[in-house]
Amino acid sequence: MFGYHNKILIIDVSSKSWRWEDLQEEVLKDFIGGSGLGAYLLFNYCPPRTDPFSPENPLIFCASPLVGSRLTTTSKFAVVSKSPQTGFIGDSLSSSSLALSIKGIGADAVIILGSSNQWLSLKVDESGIQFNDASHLIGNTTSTTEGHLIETLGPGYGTACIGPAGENMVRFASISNDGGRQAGRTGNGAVMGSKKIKAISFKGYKKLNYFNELSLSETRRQLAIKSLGEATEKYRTLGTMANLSVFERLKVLPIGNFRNQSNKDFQSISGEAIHNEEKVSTSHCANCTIGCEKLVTIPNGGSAKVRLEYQSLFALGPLVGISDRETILKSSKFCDEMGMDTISAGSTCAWFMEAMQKGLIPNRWLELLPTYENDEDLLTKLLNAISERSGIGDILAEGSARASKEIGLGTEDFAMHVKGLEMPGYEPRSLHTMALALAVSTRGACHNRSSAYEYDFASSSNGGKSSKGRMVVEGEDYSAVMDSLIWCKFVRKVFDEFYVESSEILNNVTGWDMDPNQLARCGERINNLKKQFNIREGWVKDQDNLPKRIFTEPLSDDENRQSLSESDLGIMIKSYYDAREWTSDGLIPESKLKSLGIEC
Amino acid sequence: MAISLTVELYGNSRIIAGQKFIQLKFAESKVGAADVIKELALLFPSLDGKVLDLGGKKLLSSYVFNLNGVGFQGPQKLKLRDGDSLLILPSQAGG
Repeated sequence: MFGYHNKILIIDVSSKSWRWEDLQEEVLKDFIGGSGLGAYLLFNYCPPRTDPFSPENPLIFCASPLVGSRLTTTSKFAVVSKSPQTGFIGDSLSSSSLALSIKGIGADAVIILGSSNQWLSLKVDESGIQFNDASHLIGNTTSTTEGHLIETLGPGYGTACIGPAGENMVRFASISNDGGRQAGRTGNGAVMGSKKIKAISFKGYKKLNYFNELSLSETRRQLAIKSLGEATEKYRTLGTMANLSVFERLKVLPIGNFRNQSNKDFQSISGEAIHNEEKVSTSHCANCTIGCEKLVTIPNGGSAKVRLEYQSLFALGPLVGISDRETILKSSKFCDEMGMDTISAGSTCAWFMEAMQKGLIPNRWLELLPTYENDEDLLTKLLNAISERSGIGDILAEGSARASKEIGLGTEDFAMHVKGLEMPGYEPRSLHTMALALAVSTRGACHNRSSAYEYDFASSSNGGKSSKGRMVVEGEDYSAVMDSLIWCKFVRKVFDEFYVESSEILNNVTGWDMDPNQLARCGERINNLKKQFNIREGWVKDQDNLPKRIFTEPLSDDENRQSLSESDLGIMIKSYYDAREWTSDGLIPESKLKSLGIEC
Repeated sequence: MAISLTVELYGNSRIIAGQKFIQLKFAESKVGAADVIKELALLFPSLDGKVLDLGGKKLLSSYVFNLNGVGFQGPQKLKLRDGDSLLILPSQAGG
């Protein structure tokens, strides 16, 4: 077969054994790869109601049909498991040469099952799998771990590893690869830690054939040219950190744990200011022509650089009410080195800092707090404590949802999460399509599985509340296809007709005859399967919601007063369920599942 | 009647122009997007081809207008009044 190996590698770290299984072409046609294939494998390999930290929870690495094609931005992979943050599907994407290494071993996906009783570093190559002792790596940062493995394994290995946060099963721990890129959201690093896997390295050069190499070659050339045009200008120049000043001006930058009351000026941490005043270099993922990565040299940090992007800048800056550039850059770097998601880390700290200001933190917790001088110092010490699970950090490592539930006293109302996943830097009281997407997303408060903010920022988005459901469905299905092929989201505007062009490319890779509508249908199928997984794991309608603060505290800005009522969100959620052809309770009718070919 | 506008630059447009805010004055009250673009190109020729499409009297597709930080308007819909702030923003919202 073209474009795929039709194989899954299943590794059991309990018994230190492995096996290969065939992957049927029909499954690939239905779920493609990446996030979609990961959802299919999770549904089938994760027993119902499995505890995310139990050995039965599979940790799945998925490549895609476009990995290895050398089309721009396609060196990407998905990591999927049952999330320890949400208890639902947890998937995150990361990029670069590790995707090529995974596919190079001859697998379209790797599923890790079981749990070891000693720390392991897995080495996977054509000679088989070695389950090496990793006790000497424990406590090391992600960069030290990866560096050590590069040195000891020799050239050609791609490594995914966890830092101390993953070892300590911080619920929002990430998995790091290729020099600090992160599969950041939903806590896959904690699942890896629960299996006592410090690192897994892949090396292989199994060649794949493509159905129409000549046509792909031309597409490769054309996409590369177009990717250097106007459609990606922001990403190539300032990267995503350009968002900060724009979002602040448009009142969609969440500040101070979404209280949005601050006398601070965040212009000094804008992408423009950082670009002008700091040493910034650009980096690319493997096979990417865009180069959105901005590596910022940290002031007073020696030669240390941080891979800075908007969400980290927002979550460790305005969200926690901090505008000191050096603190933010060092905190972002620290999270990457410890291996934890910057959004959830920042948001959990923001919740704790607000609860402290309001005198709602119980004395027994305050006694666990290290002494600190100011907010900047407090943030630094909280992040450190979380990564170690020491003192107060042991509670905060559970995330804002669980920590607030333990305190009560109304602190749940300002724990800014959905389904246990903390909210990204898009203000839902101003961006109503985004608000709906955050509420209904199967992975919790996620901005990347719908790109719904695009509708709010477009001049044509001013439809009524009941039109939002259709928009989010379109955005989610489109994103599911992007995340399964896998294209980087930053290349999306390079396409004139996404489904037409992508189906043609997929056909040239695989030799299939998939039409654009069938490809769009894959997106719908993938999202329905993700939802069905969540239903199986105990989802109830009340969990499609937003934190209470969003409804009770409108943005108090005279020029642009924005708010969102609970009833308005309810209308939008109904429009979403209707657009999905789900029941009024958000359940998927049997007939719908059947029409999509989903067998449960 | 003459009108004054403040043009606010964001993203790479600010880096190229080296300015955050630009004050523009027009002798006539009927001012459209094309007038602003022409004036900006005169003041900052380096914006042409990188932010402005002077020939087409429009922004490149990598940028959009926003009036006073509220909503998004296509160039045809822009109705500029004295004291307005016209924002030039990157059109890509992702991140």
